[in-house]
Amino acid sequence: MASRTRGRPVLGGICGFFLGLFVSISLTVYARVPLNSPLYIALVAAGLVVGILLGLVGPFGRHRGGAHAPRRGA
Amino acid sequence: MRGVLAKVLTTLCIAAGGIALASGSAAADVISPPGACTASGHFIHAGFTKKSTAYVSSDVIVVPQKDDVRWVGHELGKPIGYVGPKRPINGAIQIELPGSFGVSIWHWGSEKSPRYSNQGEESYSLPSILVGVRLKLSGFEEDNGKTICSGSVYVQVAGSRLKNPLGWVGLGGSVLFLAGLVFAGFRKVRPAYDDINP
Repeated sequence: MASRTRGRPVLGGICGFFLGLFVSISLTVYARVPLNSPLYIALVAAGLVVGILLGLVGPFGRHRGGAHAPRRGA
Repeated sequence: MRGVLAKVLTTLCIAAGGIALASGSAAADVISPPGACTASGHFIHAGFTKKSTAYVSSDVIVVPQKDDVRWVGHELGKPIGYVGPKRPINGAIQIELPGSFGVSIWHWGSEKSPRYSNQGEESYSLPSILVGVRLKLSGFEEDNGKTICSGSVYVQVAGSRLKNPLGWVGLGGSVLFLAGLVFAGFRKVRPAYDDINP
């Protein structure tokens, strides 16, 4: 059997943080959100939290069997 | 770099018709209390004049990316050239950032100033990364430690958003880090002991 670990929470946190930051930059230019808007802080914080959670849960990829699943080739 | 940015944003502020200029301008509906200070800016190449009394704080003043501006500011309606009792003055213009954080881009003050009005002419040329960006500028003027007027207004640089390189950086970074986020959400699979040693 294979012991399953979750995703990558550290990488998720970093990517989520920067995703929030770059989305904020895009909104500043294309959506004309004022530079003093609290939306930016919310986006960066949300990106960080979502990224960490995504890394902890690891919802993507193949699901392996549990402890009692038959071994491959068995 | 900060000095250059401060100069650029200061000229931008002047270009916007001024909220609070050298000897303390700012104005009517844009300013509290209304009429305590007034300001105007004439954009020489664009050929229009912006007056602080024509706007409210929620308005967005669109200014050209490059121009020469002739500005005038009055405190308590005093005309240009008026000289009154000397008093300590203090004032500043800030750009407001997320989290109610303000960066002072221009500050003025004097221990004994007899002037109650001022005027001048400034040239400015703003970088393309500011095209389309909406900034909130706020300013105040103090006489004898008492706030005479304060106010704020939004300023936006005219031009196509597609010409702003910051927008492309934002889009590219968003795509890149979204891919990283998805990757971080994939499960890691490690072989167990009995997989290695059947």
